[in-house]
Amino acid sequence: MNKKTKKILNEEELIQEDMKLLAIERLKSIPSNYQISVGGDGSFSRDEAIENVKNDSEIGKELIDVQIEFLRDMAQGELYKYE
Amino acid sequence: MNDSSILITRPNHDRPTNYLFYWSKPVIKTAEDRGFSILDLKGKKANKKALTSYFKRHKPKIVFFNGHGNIDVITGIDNQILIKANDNDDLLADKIIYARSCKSAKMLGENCVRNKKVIAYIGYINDFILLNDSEKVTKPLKDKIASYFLEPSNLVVKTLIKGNSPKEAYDRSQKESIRKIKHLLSPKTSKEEKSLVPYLWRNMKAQVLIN
Repeated sequence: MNKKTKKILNEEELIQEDMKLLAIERLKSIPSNYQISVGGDGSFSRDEAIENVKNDSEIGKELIDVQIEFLRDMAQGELYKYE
Repeated sequence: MNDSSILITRPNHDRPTNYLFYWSKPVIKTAEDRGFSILDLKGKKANKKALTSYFKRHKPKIVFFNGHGNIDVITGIDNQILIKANDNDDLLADKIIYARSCKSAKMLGENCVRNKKVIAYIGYINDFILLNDSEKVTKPLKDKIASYFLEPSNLVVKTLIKGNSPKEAYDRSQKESIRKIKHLLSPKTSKEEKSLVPYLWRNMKAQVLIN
């Protein structure tokens, strides 16, 4: 692996880590009495959902994806397309 | 074909299916009020044998699936397969389908409409996400948090029952999701309620009409 590839990989890892931290912070805004069910993959408390994100589980990755997709869409004005 | 019958599957073996079980009741009420005969495969009756038998004896125009699923299947009680692409999806020919289950629109829905003469398939290309209030699990219909997720989806079948097209049913459900999202984003709502929005947004984007 050359230096350039290594640098890109490190940057991607940093972005992934940032996205994870962002998702965790946003999950913290969910009240502790809310439960989250993601398809047939189970139901989780807020704290269990945060643990899933921290542990890079498939559910955790999906929860990150939900948050990032929403933020990206809002930044691109997707909601206003429904005016 | 009996145009005024609706078949509903609603297993109740875990928390999300139990919510779907209860939240199907307002839809059943609307169907009854409109004179529909209800073919209600609830709880343990949500199995493949009963489903096959009902399809052979009755000709429901609308089929409303509640339960878990994947790209090529919809499941019933204890996650038993009810419908599988290229296995028994012929049963759905000439019907309008709403599958409140994960991902099944991705492959099963496409296959049904393209190859099995299904009139229209409304479903999800991604996981259906549901948030609920842990203090309301014994009274799902009183759960305001869950209502944000389940009222827009109920509107699909309620609109069909009222004689509207699948396109109108889909559009009304989408509009109701947007209305709820905008309401939650307004200054009137709490930070806690706003935390629901990304999940509602995901469900709305995952919901598709194939016809």
